[in-house]
Amino acid sequence: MINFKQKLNTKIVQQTAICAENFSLWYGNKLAVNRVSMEIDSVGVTAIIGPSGCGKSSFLRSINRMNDLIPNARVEGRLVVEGQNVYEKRIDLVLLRRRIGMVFQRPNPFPKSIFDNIAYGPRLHGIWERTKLHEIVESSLRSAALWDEVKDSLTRSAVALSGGQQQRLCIARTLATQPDILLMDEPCSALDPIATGKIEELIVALKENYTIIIVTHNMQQAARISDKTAFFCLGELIELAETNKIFTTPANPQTEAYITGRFG
Amino acid sequence: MTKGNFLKPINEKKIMTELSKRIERLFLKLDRAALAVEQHLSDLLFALYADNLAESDAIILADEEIDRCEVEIERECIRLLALYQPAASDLRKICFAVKVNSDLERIADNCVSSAKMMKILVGDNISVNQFPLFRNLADLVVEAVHQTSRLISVNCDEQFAIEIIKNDRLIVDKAYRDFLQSIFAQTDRFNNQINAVYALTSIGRALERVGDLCSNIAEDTVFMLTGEIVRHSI
Repeated sequence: MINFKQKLNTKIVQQTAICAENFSLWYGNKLAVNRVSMEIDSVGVTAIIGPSGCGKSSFLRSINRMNDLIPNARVEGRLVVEGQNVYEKRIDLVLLRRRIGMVFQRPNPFPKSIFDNIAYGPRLHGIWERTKLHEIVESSLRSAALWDEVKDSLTRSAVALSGGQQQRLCIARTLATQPDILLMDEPCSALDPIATGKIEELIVALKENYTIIIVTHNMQQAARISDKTAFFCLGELIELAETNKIFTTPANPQTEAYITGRFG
Repeated sequence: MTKGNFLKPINEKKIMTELSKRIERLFLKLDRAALAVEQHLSDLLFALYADNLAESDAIILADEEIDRCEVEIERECIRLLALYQPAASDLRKICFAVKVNSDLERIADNCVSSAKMMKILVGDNISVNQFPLFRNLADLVVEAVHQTSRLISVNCDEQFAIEIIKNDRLIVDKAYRDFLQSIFAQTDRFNNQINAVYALTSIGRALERVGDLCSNIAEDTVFMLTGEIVRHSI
């Protein structure tokens, strides 16, 4: 049985979950991420902010090698996740993406029932026993704060849920494969303020147990939910510091100009 | 005109957001409030030196205008916080405006309470002119308020602010203590006029508070400029 509490107890407490060392990413000739070196703490939320096209989503997608799917994408440098360079040849991509889950900008439930959406990942990893799947579905939906709303309609189509519920379903689907790290690429940009509030509450609740990295264009959201904030510009990491510091006394004038709306 | 030349290069430093413009207008209001408070203090001292009760009544009346300005500035600060959710230097500037606005109003309140106390002195035929150390304290406080007003309007500089803070702690506070001692050394002059002693010490205390408030404004200026809270460290 997959028990989330059990998993939490056995989780190795590490100071640094992800460490980028001179990491660069090209799409053909275009340099999207330029020699980024940064460390991301294992517990807490790290927000990545920056103007459009600054490489924040590209960097996020590099962490679980989603950019491998883009033709002509190539990388340089190292991206170490819990002690292992994810760009080593012997890395098992399926296992990597199980450990590093991802939530996208728009909710993307499969055209299946709520139950089957959550059970999809565990089934891919060989779990077919009905009772075990039920446990996973329930604990995932509970962790995503969706269980009470859908517990009586698990066979209902996931597509019929509201936008906010769909996004929480996607988070639950990610949690079902027991990741250590959650990558979120503007998870609230397509949601209304109420649904956004629920997702933010969920992120704050999940941060105790997961390493969460969120890309957002919403400054207030980054300020509200993240512990650290990284500012990217033109593919480079300009500043990484405590969120409180970034939003009150940023060290770099470029960060100051961006968060006060003077450029971007 | 060659192709692509029709757009002039943009100087990013010159780009002003709507928030920047509104903060600039807010600081103009703060500047005017500081000048009004400075005038308030000099009117008070004029009334005290001349034992002019009509002038002291005018000070009490003029305080209404300062109160109105304070409310207006505070409302604008709340509007800016609610509508723009400012960050970094913009946030620090608005926090500065909120605190300084309150401090300026309290300086004006101290002037009003001194103007009220003056009536007791005049009733007992006692004048601040009989106490040379009062003028010493008053001159120092006038200078502190003038420098603070300059700090807000034209010379917003960290070093200048630190000088104002040090000046208050080293010089104004000492002048206040000296003034108090001079009153208590001359108790025989008062012929049981306890109210007059109370009024004199209250006016001295109010002036000392004005010096403290100037020091607070200077501390807030350091925070606005650097993000450092220096309240307990200088």
